[in-house]
Amino acid sequence: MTMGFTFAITLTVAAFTVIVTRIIYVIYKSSKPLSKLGPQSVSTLIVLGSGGHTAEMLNLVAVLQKDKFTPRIYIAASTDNMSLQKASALEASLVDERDDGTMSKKALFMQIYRSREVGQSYLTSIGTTLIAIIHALWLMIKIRPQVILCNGPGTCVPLCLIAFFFKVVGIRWSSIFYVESIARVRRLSLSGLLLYKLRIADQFFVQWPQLQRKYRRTHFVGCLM
Amino acid sequence: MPKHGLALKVNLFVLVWLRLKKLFSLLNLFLFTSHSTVAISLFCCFCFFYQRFRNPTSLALSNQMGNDDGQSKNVVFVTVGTTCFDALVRAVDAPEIKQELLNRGYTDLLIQMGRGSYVPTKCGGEDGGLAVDYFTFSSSIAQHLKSASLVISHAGSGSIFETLRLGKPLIVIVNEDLMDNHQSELAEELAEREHLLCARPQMLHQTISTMNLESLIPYPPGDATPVAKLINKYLGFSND
Repeated sequence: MTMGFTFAITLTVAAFTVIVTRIIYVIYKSSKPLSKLGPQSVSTLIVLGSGGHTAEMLNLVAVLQKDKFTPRIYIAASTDNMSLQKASALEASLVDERDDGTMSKKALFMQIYRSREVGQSYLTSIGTTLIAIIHALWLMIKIRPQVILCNGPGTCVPLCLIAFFFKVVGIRWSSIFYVESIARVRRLSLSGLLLYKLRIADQFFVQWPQLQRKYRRTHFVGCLM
Repeated sequence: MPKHGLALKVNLFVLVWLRLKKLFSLLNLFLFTSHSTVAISLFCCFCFFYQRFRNPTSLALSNQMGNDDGQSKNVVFVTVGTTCFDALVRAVDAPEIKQELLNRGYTDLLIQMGRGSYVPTKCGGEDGGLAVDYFTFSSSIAQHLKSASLVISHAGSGSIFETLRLGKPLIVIVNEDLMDNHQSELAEELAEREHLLCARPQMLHQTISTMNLESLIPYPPGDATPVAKLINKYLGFSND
């Protein structure tokens, strides 16, 4: 009886230690640039938000090396039709540039349930959050991106958490880049603060110098808009 | 979203519920009993539909464009984005503001009022007054911005940067009723750098009567290459 009990406790403690060590290792490794030269191209998940967020993100996507960051998967909230339209317009302009039509297969567009709409009551948001998490998990299992780019909409938090979980478990090592929205001058947004404090974002970029002074692990990159 | 019949709603509800139940019963293996599976999936489903049908998010687009014919028009364009910002619409609808705008040589006032409930008074402007027109939403906001000579906007970053990029003089009015008022940060920062003017709704008259639009500094377009370079460096890609 006592034997079994001690054994159970030892096992729990051991498992706990292993998990914590693994998490610390993942966080430590994430803070360093990828040691070996990356593969030829990386699958990239781009999380789009509403309005200003999307415009900023697409400005960034426009200057990325398209042949390296491919395929590109765009994700937006299911209630947000404009963002994916803008993204597909950008991708369409790339096809025109290349003029060989091969680009069309290298961009995917997906929609994700939002955990909470503006003004939704807290009681019903418990249920919708559950649905949103399951949907996010399902999408992430399908996509398994190597790079995640996000800049602040609430939908990026569950996706990044799942990506971090995948890193810890060893399903997929993905590099998470977070660019704080230009609208944030003095304080980080809630999603930004979460990903910064939990050290889930590998590289954290801010667009105003006063934010960089406040949060030392961020990189100041100037305005994207 | 189109209006569904009740039967269709119930049908959809049951369909989604069954799928959810199946999903949860997979998790059930190590998490729940079968009763809680049914309960949780029913609850989720209910929440989802309750929120969806009670609060349909699709906006009825009323696309009333202002008549674009006149050449010597001097349009003031007021935009509140997708928000509800009655305080701003009410402020620009005040007679002393209209008079002040008229004195400064503006001929038209076009208001995009969004979800607001305050309806401004339409006015043709035949009697030498300011012509006032309004609409709720439009897919051609960019067109309206282009034809405007002064933009009065809410503090949303989308509207702000779209206007600044067009090089139009901009007055940003901060909505004090918003709970998490981080938006004012951006407007105040850009006002400090003299790219735009920033005010509260009750200060609009004073701002317009004292403004000097020539003193505003054009906003230099942003550049995303520093971020792209840092990302490349981190991933071990070459920066050329």
